[in-house]
Amino acid sequence: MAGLAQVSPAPSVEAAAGRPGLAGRLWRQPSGRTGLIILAVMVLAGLASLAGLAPDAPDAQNPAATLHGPSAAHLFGTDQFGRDVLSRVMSGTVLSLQTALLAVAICAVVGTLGGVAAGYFGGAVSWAVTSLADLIFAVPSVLLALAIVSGLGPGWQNTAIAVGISYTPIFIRVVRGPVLTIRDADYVKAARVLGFSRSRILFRHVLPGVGGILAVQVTLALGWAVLIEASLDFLGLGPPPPAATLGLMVSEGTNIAGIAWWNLAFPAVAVVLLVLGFTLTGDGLRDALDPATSDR
Amino acid sequence: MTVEDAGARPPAGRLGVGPGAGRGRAVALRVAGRVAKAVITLVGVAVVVFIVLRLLPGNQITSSLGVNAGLLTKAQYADLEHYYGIGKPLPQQFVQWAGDLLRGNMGVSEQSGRSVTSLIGAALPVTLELAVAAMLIGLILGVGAGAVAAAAPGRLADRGARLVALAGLGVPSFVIGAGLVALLASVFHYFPSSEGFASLWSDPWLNIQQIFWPALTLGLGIGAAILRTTRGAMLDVARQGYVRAARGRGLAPSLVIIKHVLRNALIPIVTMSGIQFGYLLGGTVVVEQIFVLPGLGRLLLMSVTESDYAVAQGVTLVFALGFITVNLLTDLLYAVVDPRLRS
Repeated sequence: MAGLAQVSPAPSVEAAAGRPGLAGRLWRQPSGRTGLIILAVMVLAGLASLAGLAPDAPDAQNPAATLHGPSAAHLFGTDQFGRDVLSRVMSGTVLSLQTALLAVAICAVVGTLGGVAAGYFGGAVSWAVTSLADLIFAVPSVLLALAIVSGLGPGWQNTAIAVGISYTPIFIRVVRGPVLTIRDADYVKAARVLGFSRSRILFRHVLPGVGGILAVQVTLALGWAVLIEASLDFLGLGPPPPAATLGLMVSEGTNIAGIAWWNLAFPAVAVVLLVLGFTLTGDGLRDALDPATSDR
Repeated sequence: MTVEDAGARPPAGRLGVGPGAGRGRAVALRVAGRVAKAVITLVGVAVVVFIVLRLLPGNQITSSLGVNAGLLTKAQYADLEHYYGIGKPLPQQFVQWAGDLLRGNMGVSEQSGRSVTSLIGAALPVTLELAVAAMLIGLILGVGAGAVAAAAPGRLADRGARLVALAGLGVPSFVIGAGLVALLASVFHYFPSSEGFASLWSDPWLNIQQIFWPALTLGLGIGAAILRTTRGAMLDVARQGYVRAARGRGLAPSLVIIKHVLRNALIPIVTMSGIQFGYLLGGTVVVEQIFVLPGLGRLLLMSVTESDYAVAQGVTLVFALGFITVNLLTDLLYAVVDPRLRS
């Protein structure tokens, strides 16, 4: 196997010569590269958990091995019920990632449609959309997510809906501005003159123009969603125990940190890595798309 | 949450806009317009809260009395219906509800039986103190470290500051808070909240100890964002010709940085601070919970988990009022910081 892999040369970034693609430029950014590596590790850990490759089931209790420190048998130690912390962190990573993905899918789709509509049609549509966004914006997003999730009840899907709604105004604002410019661009005017349907102009001509901005915003939103989701779990508003959420593990770990630091440290590090991974990748992506800001 | 690119404005130089009667009126108009917008937004939030209240099962009677509403006699129930205006058309109900709100009547807590106004009145000073302390810590750390970093870009201090800022942005406040609590308890055997909350008036020294750690928890996150903004804005300003001119005239480097660079980088810093205030309000929920502070955030969390709707609405409205007011003040501050906006 190893021999075969060596025969075909790995496609290096340098081989792309001259102008590397977006992925290549992202990889060349120190922050982008660090972010991508962190995310790859976390996603692999999550996939391993989904594939049943974790050392133990996340809620398998073992009364004979409670609060054991990190060892060969339990790399991250065990908690007060003898559950394997590594397996729980891996499972929590999956929960965080799936909540963040659903939340960002919601706010990206709703916010982009709203922003495009507001920017392209202007007038009453723009007024209605931006007023609604201003209203949502007038309540700090953590509080809004907290209020929504308490109304909907616990569960990761509800957390995702709450986080998604509270982030939607940011997508509306970020998308609306560029669309205002694109609307009057020559190629869009030409498309109108050619008699293209409104939906074709919007989806084939206007939307691609904001693709870069959207990519950056989606990445940053993912980091933000992980942060809010973990905060809500920490406050006890997420999926109830025995679900292994990172926020709940940090909360429980704080109480026993004096005698079992690993119960606080490992879940906390996992949250930080997830947030940092998305933030760094988003920063790198922005720099890769706009070299003018790269020295910031 | 990285809104560091708010900056990059040209210098606030003297562009020779003469003073005149029209200028004062224009400023007054701008201020009035901005205040009106803030008031409209606040009314909008109140309308949304009002509608959500109607969408929830039950009415104000069941929401303020809970299961005890079943114990009311018919006459008592009718009295309460009349008091809350239930059965009248919705717009009329809204006017009555908003009128009560303006007179400070936000209903009664189902859990404690106390009026929502008195609960908020007791919790507000704690959160205000926490917010002001956190903002001060964030501004001092952020602007200070940002200025040091921008003074020598690429040097060790700059790299260090940027790394710390990155960590500050990536580490959620609940992780910082949990870490601090664990550290204080297990290493220093210190539990700042073990003695019950002491107000600033009753026991200033204990109060400062109790507020400092949660304020630091929130301030680190704010400081990280302000650091990045300060550094970026100052580097932009430092490229301007008049800064080179000031250096050429032989001004001391520190004087150039403070008088010319920092002063003109203030607008993005003010913007960022305003944005961070929203984060701060949300953060109080988490941090007050960790450090057991009896503030608005903890009140909100308790009311939400106990389905005490009257309290939850009241606190949400107070938070929205605070957030909208700070955004308004931020916008008005531009006029002070940037002379061009006064014209």
